[in-house]
Amino acid sequence: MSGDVGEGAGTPDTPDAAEGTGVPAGAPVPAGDTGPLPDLLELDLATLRTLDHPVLAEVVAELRDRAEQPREMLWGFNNAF
Amino acid sequence: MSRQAIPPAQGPGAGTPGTAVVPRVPGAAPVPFGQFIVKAHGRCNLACRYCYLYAGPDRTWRTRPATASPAVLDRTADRIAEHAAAHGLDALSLVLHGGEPLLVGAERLGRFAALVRDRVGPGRAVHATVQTNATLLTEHRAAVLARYGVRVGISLDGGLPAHNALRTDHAGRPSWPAAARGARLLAARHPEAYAGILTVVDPRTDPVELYESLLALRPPALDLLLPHGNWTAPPPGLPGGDPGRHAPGAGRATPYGDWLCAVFDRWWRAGRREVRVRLFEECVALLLGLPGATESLGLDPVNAVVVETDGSIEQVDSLKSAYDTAAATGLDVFHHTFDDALRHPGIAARQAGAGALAATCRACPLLTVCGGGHYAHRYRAGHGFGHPSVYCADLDRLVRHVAAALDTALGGGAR
Repeated sequence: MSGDVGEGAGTPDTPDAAEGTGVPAGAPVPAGDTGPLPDLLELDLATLRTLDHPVLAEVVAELRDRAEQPREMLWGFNNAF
Repeated sequence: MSRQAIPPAQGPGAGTPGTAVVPRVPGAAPVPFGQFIVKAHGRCNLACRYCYLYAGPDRTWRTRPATASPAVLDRTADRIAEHAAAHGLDALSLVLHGGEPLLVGAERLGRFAALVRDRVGPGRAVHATVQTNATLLTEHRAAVLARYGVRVGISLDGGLPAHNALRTDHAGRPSWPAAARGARLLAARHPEAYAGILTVVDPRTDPVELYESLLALRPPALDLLLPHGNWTAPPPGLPGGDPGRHAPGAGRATPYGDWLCAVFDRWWRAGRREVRVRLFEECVALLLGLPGATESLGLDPVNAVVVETDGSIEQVDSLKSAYDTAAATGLDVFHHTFDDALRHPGIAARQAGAGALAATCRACPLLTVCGGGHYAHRYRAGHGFGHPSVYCADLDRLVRHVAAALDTALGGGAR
């Protein structure tokens, strides 16, 4: 199991927006949308390719074989191409 | 296309913080490894300040050999071939990694790729890539790699010197001049071998300026990676501590999500696809109900395995950002098969989908797209990996933004 070994009981909460990082913390934002995503499963890929959105059409063109691809050929390791 | 089934958490103590969980969907066979990351060199000529391998909690590299020996490489090639044959793989991915793999020389990398191709035999495609910081990429080395059919991925944090201020050598000197030279050479002389650029996100930068500076280096693809961090060692600008206090809707700022949305908008509205952006395209795929091919999003099983310079078989090395020895399995290519590694609980956890997730994630409407984000980002010392991502709110921001853009492109409420 991917549990920790020899670790302690955990750390207390740290202050929001780690100081000294230079990353602007910004003001807390209002509570956002927590509802469901729009249902985007209605259209098939062939139809999607005909839509008038050039970036989407190109992306979908490359995805059309993915549904039939064996899982072992979907290579998701992030730290390389 | 069908939505992915969401199984309940499995194993003793499932969902209880701090207990050992061996998540497995009942009856689900492991997905064979299809991606083999071989650490050709265990050191790096750079000392990037945020490096998850050499500047993080893991110390295993210190006692490992700097280079993989011929015996390790030979045995690794055998084990890859054995696994490919056992599982009938038509194609596999071979990633030459490090450290900085070009420290062993391009010829040696190319010969290893050729060895793997020879061992797996005809009829099985080996897609070989090397992931490099590009500082050692010369015309000769690029030509050698291209000749051996090894594509080159480059790690750069932007297309301007200021974007790469944290990418220095061991003397603190900037790597940018040499890296930029290598990237431009690859684009100009061997575009067919140019795999793309990996960029670690820094929300202090101007997102559109950074994206456009990367376009100037003419990569065919980009990926935007969130810096490795977790609830105990949070990424710059994010709060750590108790995951329960920082869920979406809790009002925390989302600097990484905002940054990514700005780049997305620039990319999405360009009028043509100027470059493939893996994070965004995988998000679109998942929103459309397709399987994903990224560790950053989705519930799909991770089918990657690492072989270290001493022949140790390890889990994906980003786990090392959590704690020392986090990626260890106790297995090695001399005594064990990759099927043995598939049975390791840590590997199983990466293939368990929603079964490995916190109850919060499993109840989330973004579950099948976000998937809990990157596994390593869910860690909290003393409590394991059974938490939402430390980037939860940022991922929520991004996924909802992409979903809205996709919905608009598809006609929105008019469907």
